[in-house]
Amino acid sequence: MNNTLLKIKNLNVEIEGNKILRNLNLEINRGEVHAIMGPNGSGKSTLSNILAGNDGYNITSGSIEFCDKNLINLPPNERSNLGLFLAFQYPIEIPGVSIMNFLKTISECNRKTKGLEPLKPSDFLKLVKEKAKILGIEDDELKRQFNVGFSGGEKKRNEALQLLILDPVLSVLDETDSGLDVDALNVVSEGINGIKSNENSLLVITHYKKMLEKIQPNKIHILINGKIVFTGGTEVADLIEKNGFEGFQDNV
Amino acid sequence: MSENINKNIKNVFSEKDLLFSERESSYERFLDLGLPNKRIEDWKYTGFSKLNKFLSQDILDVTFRLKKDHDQDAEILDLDFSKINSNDYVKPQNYVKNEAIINLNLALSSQFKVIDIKNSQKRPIVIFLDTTEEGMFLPRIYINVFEGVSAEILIINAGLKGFINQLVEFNLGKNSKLILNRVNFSETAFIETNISYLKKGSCLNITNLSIPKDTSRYQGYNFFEEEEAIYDFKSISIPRQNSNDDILTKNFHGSSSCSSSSGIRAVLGEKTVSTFQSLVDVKRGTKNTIAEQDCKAILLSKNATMNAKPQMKIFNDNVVCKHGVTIGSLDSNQIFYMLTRGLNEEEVRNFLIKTFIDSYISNDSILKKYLPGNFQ
Ligand SMILES: Nc1ncnc2c1ncn2[C@@H]1O[C@H](COP(=O)(O)OP(=O)(O)OP(=O)(O)O)[C@@H](O)[C@H]1O
Ligand SMILES: [Mg+2]
Repeated sequence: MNNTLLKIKNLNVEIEGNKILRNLNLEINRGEVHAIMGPNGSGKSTLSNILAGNDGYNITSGSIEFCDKNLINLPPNERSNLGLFLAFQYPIEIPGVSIMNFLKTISECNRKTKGLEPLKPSDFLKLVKEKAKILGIEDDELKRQFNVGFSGGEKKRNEALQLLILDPVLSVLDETDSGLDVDALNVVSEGINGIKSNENSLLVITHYKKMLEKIQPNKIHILINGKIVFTGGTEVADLIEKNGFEGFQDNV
Repeated sequence: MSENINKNIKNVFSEKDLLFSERESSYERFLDLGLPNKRIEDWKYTGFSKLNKFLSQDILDVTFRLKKDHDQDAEILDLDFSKINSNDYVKPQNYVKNEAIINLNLALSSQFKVIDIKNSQKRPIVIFLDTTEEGMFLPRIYINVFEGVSAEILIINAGLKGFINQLVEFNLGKNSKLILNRVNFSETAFIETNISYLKKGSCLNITNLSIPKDTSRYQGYNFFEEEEAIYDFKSISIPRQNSNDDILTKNFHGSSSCSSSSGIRAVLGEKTVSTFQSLVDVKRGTKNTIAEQDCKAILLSKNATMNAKPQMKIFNDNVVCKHGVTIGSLDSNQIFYMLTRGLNEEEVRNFLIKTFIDSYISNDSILKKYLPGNFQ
């Protein structure tokens, strides 16, 4: 098996004629954890949306390979079926649907693509409760309507819960740590650490070094103005926390 | 048109028919008013001009089946027209003025069933109506729920041919409760008029699943004759084959402390049309009225249409009234989100529509199994 999981080459993306991503290159191997940091508006969520298959962007050139497949023309569901998961920066609400019902639906769909039967209701309930417990989610919360009236942190934990249920090959976490209180950040980071393996990879987008201290990325990329201007190790997060992005901007 | 009807009324009913003069005056009224057409306010979204061709056809009886468990004591009686009090016979036209369709039914109806529900029912009474021939069908059903009785009825309309003009009245005694689940599967021109007479503390709870294949109209007129009565109407409208599903409710708050609620959830694909007209009419001097009107529609195609007309006539300020209209397509953010979780476009669409319908037809509803398969 090829060790490269994700390979982005010279990716250029525009929205309404504005260049958002410029000649972006990124390669993630199986088992690696990468992080992206960068100022507001630098294009981090654009990248995560492009990976997930949001068609609201104009890819003007470049290529994206995931699991040796050209990702660009695949619809979002097929990307998910290949094992790609995006934890959204701004998760949406679905009134009238309980979290439990939602999880059951996506879990059955996920298992179907893997050729598996749906779990027995009791086994599924057990699985969800177990994962919820890891993330500090109360059972009562699972009965609530999907994200309706949820606090920022609750929404983020709900993203993490889906991640644990689907057990994806590549998890893109778009500021999953933002909005979590100190304790929640600890349990969610623990939970996410739990899915790390030699096969699975993570791409963690964040503004804070706290989560990175927990998750220990192999590489940190700095994205400024749609371009990766620097790649380094965990020390990069300290530098940014001290001096912001100014030092890096000089290198562009 | 008048000749056709004339032929009909004389053919079907002799002048010895005890209701002949009532029939004749209803029929004259019908001629004055004419068939429903878009110039009439209540019919402005749905003309029924094609009904003309049916008027010369034979008047036939619908097939009427009643299913109930052997231990259920609801009775269904064929009414002897010679025994009916003429005031009762024409009550609908006195309550609902200027509705030609009602007058047409009264003029020519040959089938009058009465269901007396004298004791509370543990299980639903199931009524099944269908037509398999061309012709004009004018069934009338009178449902009498006695004082203090609770009952549930499932009424399935599955007309295949002809023009059906069905009149159903509900007489709800004091503190009685009727849960009515209605399915409209009709594949032919179908108009149903419901009129309810609500006594003190009674409750009429209607859930209507309307999935017609031809132009279809439901009109419900509800009269709060005494205080503290409740009327609740929830309609799911999923017209098929580019058909037109027209729903109208008129809630007449003639007594204090009554509450009415009329709502629709429409799912509209291709060139289908759904219409929701709803009137709340609160009489001067009534107190503590609660009234709600609520219309939500999902348009799945550019060519689908939802017409909504909420209306209120309120002559005092002792009313709590809510109304809302939301018409739109499925939320593209919700669709994208669910796609990223692995469901394909069709699965996502069905899931979101099912959710939309769920608020009216929950998992344990008797109507669930009548929903189109992909939304179950
Ligand atoms: N749909 C859109 N229409 C117009 N401009 C957009 C759209 N989406 C993103 N942009 C612009 O693209 C740029 C990058 O946005 P993006 O959301 O990717 O930033 P980000 O790095 O995730 O920022 P943050 O740290 O605030 O989350 C911003 O200038 C933003 O305004
Ligand atoms: Mg962002």
